[in-house]
Amino acid sequence: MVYAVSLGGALIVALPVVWMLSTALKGANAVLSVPPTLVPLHPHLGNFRTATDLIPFWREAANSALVAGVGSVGTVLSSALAAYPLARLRARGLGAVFVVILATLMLPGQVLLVSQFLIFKGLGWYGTYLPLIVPSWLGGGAFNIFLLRQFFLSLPRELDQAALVDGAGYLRIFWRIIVPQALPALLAVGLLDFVSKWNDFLGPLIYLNRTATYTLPLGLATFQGLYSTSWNYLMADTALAVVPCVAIFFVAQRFVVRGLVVRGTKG
Amino acid sequence: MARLSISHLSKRYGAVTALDDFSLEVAEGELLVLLGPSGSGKSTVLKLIAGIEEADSGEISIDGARVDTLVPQRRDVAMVFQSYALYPHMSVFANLAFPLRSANVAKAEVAERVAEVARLLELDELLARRPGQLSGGQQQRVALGRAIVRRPKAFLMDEPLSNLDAQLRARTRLELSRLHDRLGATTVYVTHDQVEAMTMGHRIAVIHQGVLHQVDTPEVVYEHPADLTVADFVGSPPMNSLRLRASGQGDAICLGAEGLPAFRVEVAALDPGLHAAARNPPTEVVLGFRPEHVALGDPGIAGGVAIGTATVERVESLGNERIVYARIGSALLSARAASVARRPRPGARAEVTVAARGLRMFDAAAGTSLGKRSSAPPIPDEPLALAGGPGQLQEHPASPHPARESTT
Repeated sequence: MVYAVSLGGALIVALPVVWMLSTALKGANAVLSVPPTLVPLHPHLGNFRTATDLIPFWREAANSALVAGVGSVGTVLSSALAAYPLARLRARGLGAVFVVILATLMLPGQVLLVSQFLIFKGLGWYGTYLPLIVPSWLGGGAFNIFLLRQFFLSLPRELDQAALVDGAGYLRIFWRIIVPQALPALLAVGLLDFVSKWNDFLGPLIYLNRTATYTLPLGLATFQGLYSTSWNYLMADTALAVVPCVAIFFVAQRFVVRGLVVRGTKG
Repeated sequence: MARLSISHLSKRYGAVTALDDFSLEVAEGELLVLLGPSGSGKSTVLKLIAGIEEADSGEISIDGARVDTLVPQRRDVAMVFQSYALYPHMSVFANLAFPLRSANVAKAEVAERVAEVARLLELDELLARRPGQLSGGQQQRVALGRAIVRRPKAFLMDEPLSNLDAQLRARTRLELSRLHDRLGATTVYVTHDQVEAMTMGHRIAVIHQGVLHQVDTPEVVYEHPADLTVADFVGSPPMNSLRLRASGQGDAICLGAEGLPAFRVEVAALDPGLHAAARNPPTEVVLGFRPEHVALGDPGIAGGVAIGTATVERVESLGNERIVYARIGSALLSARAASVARRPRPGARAEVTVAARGLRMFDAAAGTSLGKRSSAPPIPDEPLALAGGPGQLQEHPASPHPARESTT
């Protein structure tokens, strides 16, 4: 029964992915044929080559990698650095700071959109990647800070204390004691952030104004209308765009699971 | 090595007073055991010395220089944690090297000093392993090595043996004592285990509910507890105590309670420290005596004080000896008896005699000892100067401290 339910769920989740792959391999006239075919009779593998030529796919992928890569590294570092004192130090007002950080979670992004845009335009960053990257290096988001703080709280405090007595300063404790133990959590935060930045459409849409700087989601959007939506090419590029996320997920999952196992056996 | 001085230290956690006006001197090279039940504040003392926690008031100084105002890194003390607190993601080598690397010691010297400590603690073969791959005893040695490697001014040990099984604990205890003799390091050793305290400590400081009750050599703490709290906590089973009405009769003291026949004790037979108090006692005293100073039934103790008839309730056999619990009046007494003696039956009635030299008296109201004796000075190599001994009695269980080499 449990298997039946999860199998059904898996089918529902898999259907769009399978449909995407199927469309990516179809000829132009097979795309909208009725009745629809799931497995194309004559797979057009050439679609991938054509699709990556129709838009500057590889440059846009590189742009995306730059924004998502630099951004997610910043998110991990800065949210971990912000979470560490929230989890470990006892200072007056720290609790209030934490509440304020959490409160920013309640604000919907749309509320901030206009004011953020005006700030970045005022800084002269309009048309550059800076509005997409710099905020990640300045805290990395309330949710990530919260997540890491909770994880740090679960780490044994005696190790910090031992390191303190062993002559380590707070930064050294952070780097040598906290970070190595928290690798699974840090990896999870980085992974989620990378994927969300890789897939981000709104941010690049607002701040980027030259096609040469476009990221993949923007590039994929140019398919619509411009070529009266060539679904097969759009899906071919989309399938390629998904590959890095899937690859990262599989690699990272192994590390995360292993990290948890190692921690579990330590006792 | 260094002299450690703690004065008037107090620490509260919310409404709980963990430590109240705590003062203590630890001499250079001394191994001082801080003994107390769990929650007595003994670990708090270590945390305050190490700088993990901040005191509300009071001062801590090492070699005359105040350290409680310094950050932990600059205090130059090392601590062995009860849980060992080994860094799980680092190899044994990296664990041992951590304090040195934190102090920016040159790479070559780090390797050399880690190797030296590893040799001392027989960890040579294990340097590449992770703590998770070590046995409990090996982990304990790594924790010890991490403390030693920096050559700190003072060692703080927080129940370092409590996670080992009984056999390993006894062996490690001996090794620790030997290591201390060799390094001559000023050490504060926290434990709730009185066997550890008796066997390892140059002096024992008994702490209870954040208050220091007595600091003295193990022998004095055992034979002459400063108050009822110490008498009750040190020794297993603890010192017997009987609450009695007292009246001085010149060269004798008359003692009695409801349900017990009154009895007289000649002052001259008592421990010399008690003579003055016995001639002029408070109206109510608590009479204390160790189980090894009690005899039940024939033949009794020659020249002992007969205090009445008791009913045997339980007999515990420990192999080499027995502990007999017997009720007299409302009090339950314990007596230590050799296994070769006739085994008393529960329910049997027996005359209780107590060796007069083994009697201690406490003020019933204040709980403090009525015996007068000068405190031993805080010097580890001082020969023991007991005011009075167990005399002709059976050997008492606390084995005397083995002869020590010079530690300076």
